[in-house]
Amino acid sequence: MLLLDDVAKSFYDRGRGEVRAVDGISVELTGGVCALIGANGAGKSTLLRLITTLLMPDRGRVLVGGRDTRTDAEAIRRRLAYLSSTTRMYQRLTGRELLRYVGGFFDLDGATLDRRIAEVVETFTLAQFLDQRIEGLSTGQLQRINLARTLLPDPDLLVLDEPTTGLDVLAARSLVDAVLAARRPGRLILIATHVLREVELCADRLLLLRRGRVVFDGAPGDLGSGTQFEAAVHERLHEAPTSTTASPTDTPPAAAAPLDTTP
Amino acid sequence: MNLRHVLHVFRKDGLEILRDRRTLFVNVVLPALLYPLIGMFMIQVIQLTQAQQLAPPRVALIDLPARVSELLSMPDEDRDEAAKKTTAPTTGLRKTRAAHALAADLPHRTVLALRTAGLELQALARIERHERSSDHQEREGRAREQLLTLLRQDDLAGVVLNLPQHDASAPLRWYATYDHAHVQGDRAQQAIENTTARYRKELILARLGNAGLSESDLSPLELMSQPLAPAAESMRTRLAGIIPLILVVFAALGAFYPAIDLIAGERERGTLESLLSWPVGRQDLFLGKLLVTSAAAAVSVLLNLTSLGVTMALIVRQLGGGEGGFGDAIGTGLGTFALCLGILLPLTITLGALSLVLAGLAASAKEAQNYLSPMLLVVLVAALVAAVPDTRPSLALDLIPITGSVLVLKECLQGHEVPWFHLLISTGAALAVAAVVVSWATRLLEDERFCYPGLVRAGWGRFRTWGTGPDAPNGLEAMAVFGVAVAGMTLMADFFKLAPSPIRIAVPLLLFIALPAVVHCWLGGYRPSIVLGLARPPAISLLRVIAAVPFAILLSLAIGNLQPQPAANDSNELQNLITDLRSYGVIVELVCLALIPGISEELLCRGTLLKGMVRGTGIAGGVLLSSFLFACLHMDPYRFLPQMTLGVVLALLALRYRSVIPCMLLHAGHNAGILLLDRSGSADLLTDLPPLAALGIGILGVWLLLIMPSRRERSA
Repeated sequence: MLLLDDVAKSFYDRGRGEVRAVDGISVELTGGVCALIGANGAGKSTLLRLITTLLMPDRGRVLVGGRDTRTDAEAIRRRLAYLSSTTRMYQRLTGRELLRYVGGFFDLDGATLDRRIAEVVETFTLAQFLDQRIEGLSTGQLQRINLARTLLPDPDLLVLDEPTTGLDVLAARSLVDAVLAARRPGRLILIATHVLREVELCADRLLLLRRGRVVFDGAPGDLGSGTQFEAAVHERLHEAPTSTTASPTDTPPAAAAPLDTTP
Repeated sequence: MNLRHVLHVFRKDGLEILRDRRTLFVNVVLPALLYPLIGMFMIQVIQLTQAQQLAPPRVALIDLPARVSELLSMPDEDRDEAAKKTTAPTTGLRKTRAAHALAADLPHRTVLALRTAGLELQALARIERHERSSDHQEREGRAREQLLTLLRQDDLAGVVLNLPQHDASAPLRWYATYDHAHVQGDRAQQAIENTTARYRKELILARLGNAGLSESDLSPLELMSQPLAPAAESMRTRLAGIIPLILVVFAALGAFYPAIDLIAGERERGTLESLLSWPVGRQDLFLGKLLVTSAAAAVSVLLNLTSLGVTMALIVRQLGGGEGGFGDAIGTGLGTFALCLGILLPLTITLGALSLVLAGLAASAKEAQNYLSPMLLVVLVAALVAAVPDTRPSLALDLIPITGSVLVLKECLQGHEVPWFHLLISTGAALAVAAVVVSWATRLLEDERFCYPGLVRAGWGRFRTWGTGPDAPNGLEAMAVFGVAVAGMTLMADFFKLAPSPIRIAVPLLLFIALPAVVHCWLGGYRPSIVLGLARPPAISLLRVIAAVPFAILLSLAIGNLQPQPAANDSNELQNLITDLRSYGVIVELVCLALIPGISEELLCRGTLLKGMVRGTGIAGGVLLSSFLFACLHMDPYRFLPQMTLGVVLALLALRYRSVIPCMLLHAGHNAGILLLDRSGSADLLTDLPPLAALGIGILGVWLLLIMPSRRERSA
């Protein structure tokens, strides 16, 4: 489903010079739920934006379903859905209008679109506020609408960038449940998060990112569970870089953000 | 292009715009309410002003006949006539005295002082300049001050004196002076001048009567004139210069807020990232938004025009203007109305595209407003051409998008025959600009920095690491280099004013045209073989260029004949320089006017500028824009079309062979050919050829030799 082949992406920062946000990542992911964990500035969001064709790699290839993001961006976008914590929606539209608008780009015919809307409305229990304008919805309701619109076209690749940020405990838990419910054969769900409990709950595979490089790639269970898992993650995210991962233009790492261990 | 997606975006964005109170207020409510409210306010103010009985200005008449005082105190004739005609709504207009004549009312002491000061001032003012003494100015100033003080003491706006005459048969001589700082100074002057004219006429009639003559003996010829066209039509012709300007400004304003909302607003509200992650082509996305913006602009024009027309008609009617007022003047037939819409529609597309793309460059709605405000000024200046009297469409003006359209609109509103040819060209120019902008916008939307404006790619740090730049500069960067070159040529060329002609021509070209391109290439770390086009071309290209030079000259001369030529005595500074250059011999002339321009202008225009424009707007946009700017660089309106055509040919040549060297050869050969023809007196060789034949031969030759791809290129 997803192949990252020596992918690199750099930015130029006036203060720090060249910053390698993603520095030669090579990973192949087939299906299931894959979690990305890293401190702030580790390159999680950049990596997800490279996968969703919003950014193009400086080096290497990103293949989604065998297609290169450089040459087949629009075809790739038909197969993926992207949701981030910073995503906002059209305030002057109702939930129903938003779902119709999004569905319209995926070339779903009228009947199929109606059926899919009915399905997601039922799955995420949106009926109560579906015809209200988005500007009047609560954060939790909006996130449910957002999740519904990402699953509306039944994507093969679901990319979630810190989707539970800003949600209360219950809303966050229901979102995790929704992610678990969205699992199906042939679908890859990529989720970047700071919440280790979410990873333990739903991820089949875990990628730990540090300064744009993968420092751990395996099942979350390989790092233990509970506090042992948390300690192992912290240890790997704070360990000194090896000589192969260091780059001459890298600046000293920013202090890693504290990882949230609440569910 | 996916039309379904374009309409899908149009429907949703249209719905959002209709639900946006700010845009609705500016585009619909404001035009519908603002003009009627302003109109009502104006009516009230005018009626209040008319109802006010203005006190007549006080003027001192000293030693003047009593009849003058009577005449001055009478109401103004014009006012009388106006008062007779007006009906109920204007009954507030009352008879007022033209001025309040004073002399007998003033204390004798004041009259004496006024007479003395007035006579002194008049005497000082009459002294010829060469006869004036050293303290003349001081004395005159004192007299002036004294007179002003006396006038102000008694609240007088002016004084008129009868100058003493030694000879009783000599004509009367009066001296009048006014305090124009007084609020009624102007009215006082007007009243005195009218009264003097009336009194003069009475004197003349009396003398004629004494001599047994009638008034007709003095005026044996009388011209009677009468307007023939209905008042509304006459007014429409006069307003035809202003209405296109108003419409274009309304169109730009109508596109202003939707453009900000649909692009910068999308980014500011955080919806852009999601939108760009959906499977919609960037061009479809932009076209959908363009449809909404253009429709909003068109609706705004319609509403503004209707509201303005209705309001003005109401004002005129209310103030007693009756039929044939302003409202009738801008009320046109359905045919003209449809034609206006037809002309304005491509313009709304151009303005919509420009507004959207400028708003797309901004990181926030506020920043977008900063970018769009100068655009409004540019639109205003381009449309102001219509307001200049006697301007009519011409081929060169048609090519300037907004200017061409407003001139055609002006012709239609003036009731002339529809200039279909100019309409076609100006519409084509407007749509070509829109197409270039759409192409640019599509690339802009495809760029990752559009979604993440704070993102600075590592490549932009190249100014610290020489030689690591991308293949080509972006469009704005290339425009900046061009701007530096133009600024250098216009602002700094005067430094060489005293130098001999060859230096005055060659050095600015090298210093301000070639050098900026070379320095930019070096600073930006670009490869000269790519950005400046200094790659070795295939030998065949040079042979083709040599063979094509005569055809390029023919094409240039033929196109030059299509546009207006300067008058024979209309010589500019450059022309004088070129004439002066002849005295240095043909070699120097060829170096200065063919070789150096060929090298310098090609480095800038087919090197940096073309590469940047192609990267920014695509091949078609790059060729057209770089050629347009190349023609502008010459700052000669009479050679604009041939220069632009030559620019297109050179740009296509540069793109075909990926080198500017063939372009340098063609450019230099073309200039050298024209120069030699001119020297040999054969520049008019085209007079022997039918213009269309010359044009056809030129195009065919250039096409076959330079532009038409070879079989191998086609297969590649």
